[in-house]
Amino acid sequence: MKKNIMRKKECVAMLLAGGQGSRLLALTKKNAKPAVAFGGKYRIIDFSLSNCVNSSIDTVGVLTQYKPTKLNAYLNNGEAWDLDTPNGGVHVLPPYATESGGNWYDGTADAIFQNIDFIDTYNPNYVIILSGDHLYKMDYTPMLKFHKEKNADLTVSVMEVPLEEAPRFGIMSINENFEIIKFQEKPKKPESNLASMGLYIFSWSVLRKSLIDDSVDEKSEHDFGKNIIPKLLNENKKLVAYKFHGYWQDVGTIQSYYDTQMALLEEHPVFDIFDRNMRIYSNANVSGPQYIGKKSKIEKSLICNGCIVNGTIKHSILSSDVVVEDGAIIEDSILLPNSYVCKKAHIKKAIIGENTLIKSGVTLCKDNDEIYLIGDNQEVG
Amino acid sequence: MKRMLGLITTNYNFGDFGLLTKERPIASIPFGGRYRLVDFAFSNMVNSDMDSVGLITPYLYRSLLDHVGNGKAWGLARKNGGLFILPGSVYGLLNSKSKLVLRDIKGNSMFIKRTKRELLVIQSASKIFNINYKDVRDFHDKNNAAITLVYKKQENILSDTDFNLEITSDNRVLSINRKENGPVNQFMDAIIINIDLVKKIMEWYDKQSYMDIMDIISEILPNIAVYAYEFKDYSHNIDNMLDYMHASKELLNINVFRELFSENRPIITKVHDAPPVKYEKKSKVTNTIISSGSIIKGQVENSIIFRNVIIEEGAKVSNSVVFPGSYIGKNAELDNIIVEKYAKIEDGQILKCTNDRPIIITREQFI
Repeated sequence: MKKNIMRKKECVAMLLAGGQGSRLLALTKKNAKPAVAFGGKYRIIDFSLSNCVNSSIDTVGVLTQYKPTKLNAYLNNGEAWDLDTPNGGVHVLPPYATESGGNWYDGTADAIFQNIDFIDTYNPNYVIILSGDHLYKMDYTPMLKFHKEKNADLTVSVMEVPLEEAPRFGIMSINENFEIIKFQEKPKKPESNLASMGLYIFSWSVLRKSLIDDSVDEKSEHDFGKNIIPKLLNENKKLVAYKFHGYWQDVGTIQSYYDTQMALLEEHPVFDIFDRNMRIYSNANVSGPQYIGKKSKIEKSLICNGCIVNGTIKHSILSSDVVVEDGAIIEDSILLPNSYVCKKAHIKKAIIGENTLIKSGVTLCKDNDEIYLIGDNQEVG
Repeated sequence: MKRMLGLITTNYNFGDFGLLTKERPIASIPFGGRYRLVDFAFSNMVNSDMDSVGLITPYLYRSLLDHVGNGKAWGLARKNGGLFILPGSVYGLLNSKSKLVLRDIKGNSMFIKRTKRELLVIQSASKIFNINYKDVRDFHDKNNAAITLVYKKQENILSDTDFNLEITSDNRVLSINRKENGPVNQFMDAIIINIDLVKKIMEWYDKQSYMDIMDIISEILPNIAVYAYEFKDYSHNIDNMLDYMHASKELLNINVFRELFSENRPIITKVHDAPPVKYEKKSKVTNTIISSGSIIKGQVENSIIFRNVIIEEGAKVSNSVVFPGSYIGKNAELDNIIVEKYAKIEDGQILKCTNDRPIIITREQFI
């Protein structure tokens, strides 16, 4: 038998990180969504990567496409997540050219299809498909165990949502054995309240065949939710739903991006970044400690290394290396890395992009309850 | 071709640090919220493009090696060059004031013999300063020096372990002595020396390897070109507990802070990856340095708070240094205290020290 150069892996993770994230508006103008800063010192991709590490999955393919420069630099060799292992680790997988030309990734399933060779090098039994834009802590081990126990071809992670919110999701109807009997993508009249989290464990042989079949289907949009799952269901494959009970939030819109971060400021937040059992790793920079000056007033806030604060900070998040000069007031806001707020500026309910300068005396505050959004590398005032 | 080879000397243990050095060498005393003293030497070297650095270890080296690891934080985990751990000799003389004896270089002579670099850059861990050795190297080259000693002008002698350099108007070193008072040219424990000369010194002083490198340089001074380079930026001695507290408080001066932790030449340390600092509703923090992972519910002023510290509601911390992982209970009050790693201050404890010399609270101490 042919000898494989890489050692076999039981489970390989494929992380979809190529989407444009257009709903994050100015924040993704020059940056892929997974690389957008979150919660002060993290970037959105940290949560999925940390889940992998905390689930002992040490081989992760990251599928990139849209403006990947910052994301690539951030991932580096995976060292920050202990993923710089000799066998496995982080692999950045952009689209590539072949002898018959090259193609952009055209849909989530196509992105995996184009990397069948990559997955084959690890010869895994299972492949877990992850999205790079969800905020949750999850050990994938029990889900994988469930998949094996049920002898399933595909396990979809689902969570219960209020019925009135169900039309926003892909909805699964299941029988008493957790087998999926019906799948509705964004239904007007949902028949169940079990929403797909966009998190799948496939048996690799089944997924492999399905991706090859799908690739020649001209009508297909090459999407897991729209094409692959309905087709497998039609083929009477064994699809089961795994119920996840923890906190899970999509952070793909400005509103959810803002709300989920503000929730971190609660005294006992549901999503606890301080919990050492499920640590969140990030590629931290070398900034010094934070310096809190004589005139500063800070309450209900998260502040990162490298910040220099001399103003008033109320219910806000200051990412790494932010400067707030004296007399400035920051309320209910998120300041992304390396932003700079000059004297006597007043910022309320705003998101200020990376490397953005807010000059002296500027007031940023909307009359209504909307979020004031300023993108990266701007000068205001 | 890189020309400078780094050598960090940490095999010494004198000065009154009390319990701070009970289980750690001077080089790994925590400093400035997230650093260890040795970080300054490492950072100065790698920020000056050195990619090969030897570390002479002290007697109690566990915490130092735990911190330094394979040198990854400084980019020194390399195939070619990188970090070399050089075991220091065990001293019999506890009250020796020497920071580098020839024996520690000779015992690791392969480090010197096998290198193709031309210049050896030596720094100790007991002075904090941020220097660009490329400037010192250019000065060394310009003067065609065999040895360049870095000094700083001080109004007064700062420590009885410091050397004073007598120098000529064209920066030649005339003598090296221990002056007892008055203005001094304080030797910064920083040397550039030609590797060829180091090899010769190892031969010449083969039988006197117990000698301090500075005493050897004093002896050969008349016959070789020894120059003095003036360092003009911020520096501070860390030779005892009083120095330590004084230097910590000076960091709270934003100008000192910015100069020492320069953006262009950052001080680099082992990354621990903790969450941001969380300030709760009733927190009141002024004039303080805080590191990631801490949760502040009480009051803090004029203090240095390291990683993963919890300061509970109603607690009041002033003029203190709180090491990583420690816990300050509700309504506890601290003034001029050093709280050791993982120590716990019970609810309502009041600890105030009116002396210059702070009290150290360790994990084992029950109050």
